[in-house]
Formats: sequence, structure tokens, C-alpha cells
Amino acid sequence: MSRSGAASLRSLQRSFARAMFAPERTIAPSLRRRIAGRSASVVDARMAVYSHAYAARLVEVLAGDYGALRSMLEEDVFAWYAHRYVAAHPSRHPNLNRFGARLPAFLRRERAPRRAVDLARFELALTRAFDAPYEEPMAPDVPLALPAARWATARLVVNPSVQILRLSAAAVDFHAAWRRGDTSRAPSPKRAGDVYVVVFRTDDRLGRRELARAAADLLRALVRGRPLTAAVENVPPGAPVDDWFAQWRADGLFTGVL
Amino acid sequence: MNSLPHEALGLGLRPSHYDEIFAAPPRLDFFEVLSENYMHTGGRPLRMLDRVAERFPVVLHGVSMNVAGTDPIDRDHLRELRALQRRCGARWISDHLCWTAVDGVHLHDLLPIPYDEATLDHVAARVRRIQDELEQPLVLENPSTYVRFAARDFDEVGFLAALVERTGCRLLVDVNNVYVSGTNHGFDPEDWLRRVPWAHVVWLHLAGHTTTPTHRIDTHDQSVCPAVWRLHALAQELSGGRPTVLERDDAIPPLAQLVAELQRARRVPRSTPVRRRMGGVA
Repeated sequence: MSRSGAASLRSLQRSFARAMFAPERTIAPSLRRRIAGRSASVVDARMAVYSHAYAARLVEVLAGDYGALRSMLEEDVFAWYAHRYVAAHPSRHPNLNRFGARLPAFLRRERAPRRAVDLARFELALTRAFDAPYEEPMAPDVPLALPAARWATARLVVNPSVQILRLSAAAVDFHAAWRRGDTSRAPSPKRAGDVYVVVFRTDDRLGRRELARAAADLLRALVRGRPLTAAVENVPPGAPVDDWFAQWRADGLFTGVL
Repeated sequence: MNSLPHEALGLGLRPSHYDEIFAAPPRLDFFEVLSENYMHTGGRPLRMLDRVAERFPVVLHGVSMNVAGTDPIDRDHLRELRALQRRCGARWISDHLCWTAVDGVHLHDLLPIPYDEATLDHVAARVRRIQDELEQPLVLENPSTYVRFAARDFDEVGFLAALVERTGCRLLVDVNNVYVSGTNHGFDPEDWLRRVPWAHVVWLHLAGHTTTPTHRIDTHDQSVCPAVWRLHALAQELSGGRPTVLERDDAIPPLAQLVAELQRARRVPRSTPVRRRMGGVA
């Protein structure tokens, strides 16, 4: 293709995209001239098929990824945020899996209520766990069988889906209610303050479990690759470390030892 | 080597059907897999695809290759497609004759192009590069379109035929899209089908659409309409038989209902004279 031909096609595609991004604006005369025949109203109606589909598809993706948030905010408010997000963050990837990844940060910038921001963070973590690579977990009933000398250097390999979050209890409680189908109205928060939650996937099942703060700190240290001894050293005396490990191994949070 | 039997019937694989597929394998010959749903993920989607591909032949069908775009060809995307093909043993890689992104922004729609010589040169060069990267012929589908451009050296089917001639690519004829675009732009879908280079067509698509007072929209949210079934019969007659895939992307019914709908394609008596069976397109 000649350079002028390529430039002409690129110019056409740019003006077409602009018309899709801003359906409320009239179609640029330069684009209108290049669209074949029929009346201006027909051309407008046909271009609207593309522009409406663009926004609707991306808002639908957000609604699918953030179902609990949509329920918490209710339809109109969710749609208001979603359309602003679509305008602020055009898709830069051929795959829509990643499109909504910046919504929690966007909501924070937009000064959305904290529990809405945290609910979005929670749902994003679940989506990421869903898409994380699969690695076979260590069998929970097999002892680690490490010689004592190895504890100082041994590192547990953590399931790649594991994410640890500090969230407002209101967000976590809302999500639990939403999963139960209690979407008639936002339940009153029963708990104040923050909670720590680990999100993970084993096989094809998503899991989430609340953690004590010390347990969350320990698990974070293991995720960062700290050796076992060094990670456990910071746990307060008397903490039920053995019980935590038993639960985490039962949940499939570890896939091996280095 | 990659061919599916001409009478093969397949469905677009949708996650809402996983449980039904694994509980009782449906009476289907293959699945068409939406490529992007299984790319850039390492999780559950790929594990589900592995299980489906153990039981059924699959073909890949994408929506983001930006075949007629003006941004650089996304070679990472093509490499990942190849990796996905190797993983699931897909017989073909398909996408659409359209553009989907510009200036790095993905529009996630199948957008129309002018059917002129300059665009043909451009698209043919890109298809050749894509095929070199994929090391196989690319299968291209005719999209539904709602506007067309004034610059025209070809009509759509003429453009596709010229593209096949220049690149050796294969075609996926979406019969519903022919009908939708035919209505929207005032061309005769039967004539369109009669001019297809059928030797290069690998499979056919069927789907439902929505009718508005001024145009039809390719929505994939309802059953195939009688007029599209008649066009499908004509396509089978003209091609000598090609595999058929039924697509459904919204208001997705249970798997058994789609399988039952698709069985109608088996009942097309391919030896019946075209004129008598067609009875014109509504």
C-alpha cells in the first residue's frame, strides 16, 4: 500500500474511533463524507450501533468483574462510575480480562466511599486468583520433613494465586451477603474496622479466608520469599503458628519448598 | 490434514456450558474456542479448555488480531495464539476481516474497512505477515457491518475473493453476517454466496440477530431465523458441504437447546436443487 493510502486508512480509523468514543458529538464531516450514501440520520443511526456497543461492552465487562460492587452502589451509580472509567481508561490490550484492573485505584481517586473501594479491591483479587497460573499444591498431610538445619534457609513456594489484603470489614461482609444472594439492599455493616483476608485458588475453586493480623504478616513474609525461620521470628509469642500452617496447607497455599 | 468432516457440527464454546459438557458429552463434532478467553490467563479457563480439547476437536476463533488495522502487527499476540493452538491442538486459527484497534487503543469490535485497491494492498500485506508468523493459512470471517464506505473498487465478497487470491488465506463464511449486512446495505445475500470462492472456505457460522426498524444487528442473542437457515442451505449446496458452527453470546440457553437447534443443519438435503429449497430470502 502506498504511504498516502496507509495514511488515509489510518486517518479514517482514527476519526471512526473518535466517533465511537464520543457518541454525543456529531460525526466529523470528514468521516461523514467517506461513509456511503443514505441520509445523515441513517448514517448517525448506524454509527450509533458502533458507539453504543463500545461503551456497553466495556461497562458489561466491569459489571461482570465487579458484580458485588455493582450491587453495593446500585445500578445508576455503578454505571456512572463505569462510564467515567471507560472514558478515562481506554482498553490498551487485546484481551478484556485486564480491562477493569485499574478500577479500584480509579474509585479511590474519585473519592468513592472506602467500603466501595475495598470491595472493588477484593473483587479484583478474586479475578486475579481466577486467572493465576495453576501449580499443584503440596499434599496437606505430608510432613515438611525438613532437617532442623534447613529451616534457616528454606523458603516455602506460595501458590501464585495467593493475595493478602487489608480491607474494611464492611466490604468483606457485603461480599459475603452478596454471595448468599442477599442483594435486596445493602446489609448494615455488623463490624467496624479492618480485617485481613487471604484470597486464593486451588484446582478450580476460589477461596478466601480471614486472618489474624500476625498471620497476615507471616503469610506476606512467606509470599515475599523470606526463609521460614526469619518469617516466623517476627510472630508474637503464643500465636498459634502450627494451626495457621495446618490451615494454609489444607487450603493449598503452598506448592513446594526451596 | 486440518479439515473437519464436511458434515461436522460445532458450537462456540461458552463457560456457562462447561458443567453440561463434562457431565454428558454432547452430540457435537467440535467446538470453536474464542481465543482471547484463553489467552493471558493461567487459571481455570485454560484448565477447562484442556478438558474440552481432550474430548473434542477444536478450532480457534479470535476477535482482536486487528487484521486490517494500521497499528503494527502485534507479534506477541500471534505468538501467544500459536502457543494456545499447540496447547489445545486447534486445527485452525481464525479471525475477522476488520480492524479492531488504532493508536494502541482496542475498540473490541469488528470495524468496517473500505473495499478499495489501496486497502486490499494493505490488508493482503498484513495477512501474509500474519501467516508467516503463524506458519499456516489464516482463516478470515466476513463481519456484520452497519456502515460502508464510499471508496469502493470491490464489494465485500469481491474483496474477500481477491484477498484469498493474493494471500492463500482461507475463509469462514458467516451466513448470518451475510444476511445482516445484506439487509443493512441493500445487497442480495444469495448473490453474495454464489460468488464465494468455496474451495477456500473452511467452515460456516450460524447465529441470531436483532431487527430494528432501520437495520439489523448481529447480536448472537437468539435463535437462527428462517431466512438465515435458507441461506445456510444454499451455502451447503454451493460448497458441497462445510462444517457449521452455531454461535451464541447472549441470553445463552442450556447446551442441549443449542445442540438441538444445530441438528437442523444435519437435515439439509444437499442434493435438493437450490431454487426449489431456497424459495427466496425474506
